[in-house]
Amino acid sequence: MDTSSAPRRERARLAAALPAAVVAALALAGAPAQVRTALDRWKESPTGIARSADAARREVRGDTYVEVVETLRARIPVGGAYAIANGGAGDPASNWLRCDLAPRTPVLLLPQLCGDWVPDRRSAPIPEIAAVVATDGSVRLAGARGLLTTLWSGLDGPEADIPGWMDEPAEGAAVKGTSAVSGWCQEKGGPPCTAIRVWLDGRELDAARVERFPRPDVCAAVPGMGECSRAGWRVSYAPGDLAPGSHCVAAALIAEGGRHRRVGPWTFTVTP
Amino acid sequence: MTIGAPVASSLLAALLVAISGLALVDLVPVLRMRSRLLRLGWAWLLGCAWVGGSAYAASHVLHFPLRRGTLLPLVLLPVAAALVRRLLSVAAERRAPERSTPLEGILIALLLLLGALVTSSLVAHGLAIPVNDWDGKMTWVAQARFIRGARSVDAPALRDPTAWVIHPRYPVLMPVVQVVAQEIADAPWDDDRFVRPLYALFWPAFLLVLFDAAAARAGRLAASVATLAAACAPTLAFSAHGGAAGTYSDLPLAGFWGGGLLLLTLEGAGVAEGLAAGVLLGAAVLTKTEGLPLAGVALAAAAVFALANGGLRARRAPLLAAAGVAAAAALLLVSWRSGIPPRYDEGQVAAFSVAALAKGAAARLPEASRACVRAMADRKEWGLTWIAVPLGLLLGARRLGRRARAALPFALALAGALALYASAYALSVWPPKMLAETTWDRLLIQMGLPLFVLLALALEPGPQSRFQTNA
Repeated sequence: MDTSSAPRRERARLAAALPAAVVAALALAGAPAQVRTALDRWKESPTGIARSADAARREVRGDTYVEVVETLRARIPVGGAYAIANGGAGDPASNWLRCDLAPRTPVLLLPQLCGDWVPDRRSAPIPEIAAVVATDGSVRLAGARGLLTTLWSGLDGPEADIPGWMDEPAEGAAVKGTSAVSGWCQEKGGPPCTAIRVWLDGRELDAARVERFPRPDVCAAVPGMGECSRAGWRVSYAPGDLAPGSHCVAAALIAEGGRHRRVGPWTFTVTP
Repeated sequence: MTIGAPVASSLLAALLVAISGLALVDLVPVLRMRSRLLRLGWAWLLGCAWVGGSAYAASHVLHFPLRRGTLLPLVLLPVAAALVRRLLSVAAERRAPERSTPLEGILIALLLLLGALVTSSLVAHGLAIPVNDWDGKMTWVAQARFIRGARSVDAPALRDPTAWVIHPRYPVLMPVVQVVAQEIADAPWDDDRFVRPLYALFWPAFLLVLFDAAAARAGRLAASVATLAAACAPTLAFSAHGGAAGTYSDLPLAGFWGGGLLLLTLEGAGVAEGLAAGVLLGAAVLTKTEGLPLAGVALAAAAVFALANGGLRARRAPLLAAAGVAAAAALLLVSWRSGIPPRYDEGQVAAFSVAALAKGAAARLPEASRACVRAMADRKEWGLTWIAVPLGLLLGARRLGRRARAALPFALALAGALALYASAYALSVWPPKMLAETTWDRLLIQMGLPLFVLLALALEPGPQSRFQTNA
């Protein structure tokens, strides 16, 4: 009788079981963590299950968010549309909002430089109500049309190389109590521009506020300008009219025949 | 205790889906031989696949409104078919389960305890906290609400080119499952907690199907160990971004395409098994964009397996049945997508060309691979999974060599899936590191079933303890 065969068989059996034993040991080493996580979640659950849907949402997203959603739900019919002015690209608040307001149909508004908005799809009909999602994820309600930019409205043709500029406030400037938005515009040897349109913080200013004034410095600097008594333009402000902080300005310089040149938009900062 | 969450309606809806699936299991000879517990795993996958797939097709092709009156008959159709089968045929003999060895018994008991604890905690936590994961809110739950509002998978919000819907052309099987469950249970519109258990139940289903398939091929001991390794992977259960704790579609996809592959390669698979595999692969096609190529990979792997095991002819019928159902699902997807203007998709993959693929692979894959390895080494997400699995495969490499035929379809499926993911990484317009960090864990979950069955084959101690298919 071969007395060595039994231990050899035993060794072979153990060797055969080794991979399973190693993997089982490694798996079991992870089991306590799984059990702990499961128990932790069990502990949280009774309170959560006891909550109403509204209370559960408030717990996860906060009272303000839930109240905005409730208001929007009340104001927009189930088959209706609304706009999401998404100021924080990638912010989860927009995803939540779109989901929580579905099946109402959202239209996306994208932010412009001047705090104004444009529809992401030009053909999109603009709904009445918009939810404005800020970069910090907070949400507020607004009239959708009131958010839309009027910048360059009606200026559909190509731009022309019309001599002129917006001198103040300069791009990126920090100014103390800005008193005017101003510049100049005149075709060489020709008349001054027929119209100047100015936008401040995304809103077009009343054309009657644009005054014209002489710019002899322009005549001196640019040869062949001719007479410059109405080459300058400006919109004046009383000190303190513009709140401290960042603002945005743009101007359209319009010459005869409706040819135009766009200047800006750019931002400047009003310091206290 | 006050109950504010839709506990009863959510569990009732889940029960109805499971009943529909159990009836389908009853129509599949190989599956109805299984023990009650193991049948539940298959039932959940088949139930979701059938409920979602049939409602998707009925809504798009036949313009059936997605409301209780039309959905309940769809859900109960398999039940009627199973009753008819039972009336017409002699009750199937169920072989007495083989006795487990003490070690197998201990491991199975541990699995059952862990499985019950984690499943109940996932369901309870799902009923306690509203959906709070990125893709769930952005895409899957949002799409379900658009669909439920229109009572159609062709919801106007999806088809309106000006509507801000993210990924409107993503397949919506899981949102449709949500809608069916909500409509049948008359669930509230605004309580996401209703749907979370539907996703949570894919975790036990995954493990039950894994154990069943692994035990049939490698015995109970190896199956228990491989299933334990999967059960102890934190991400699979508790990740809200791809695992059972969230409402991403990755775990359902893992169950559908992996389950289809396992059914097609089962010993004794016939037309009924082929049709059931087709239902699962079709569900994969309708669950995520990558479901279509993964279904193709599964069919190809099963065909090669058939060739390696005595010729394609013997397994032609189940393969054709599965391919037919999967192709029908693909046609449904193409037709459904044709009405949806492409928009609000990140264009994750640039235009395909061999040159672009080669260039992208050389430039992007090294960085992506490093991020993938870092993700796998994250103990919080994966525990020791990515030490245990490679070590098990390495230590069992010789056994895998001896069981090459059994291992072949899973190795091929994994190679195919990896090639698919590598191509997507090579062609993506996303930065490689960011892409890997946001997707790799989910892709690993998608590969779960073939991977862990392969692990079980590597761990099989020897022919003495092989378990003979009647778990």
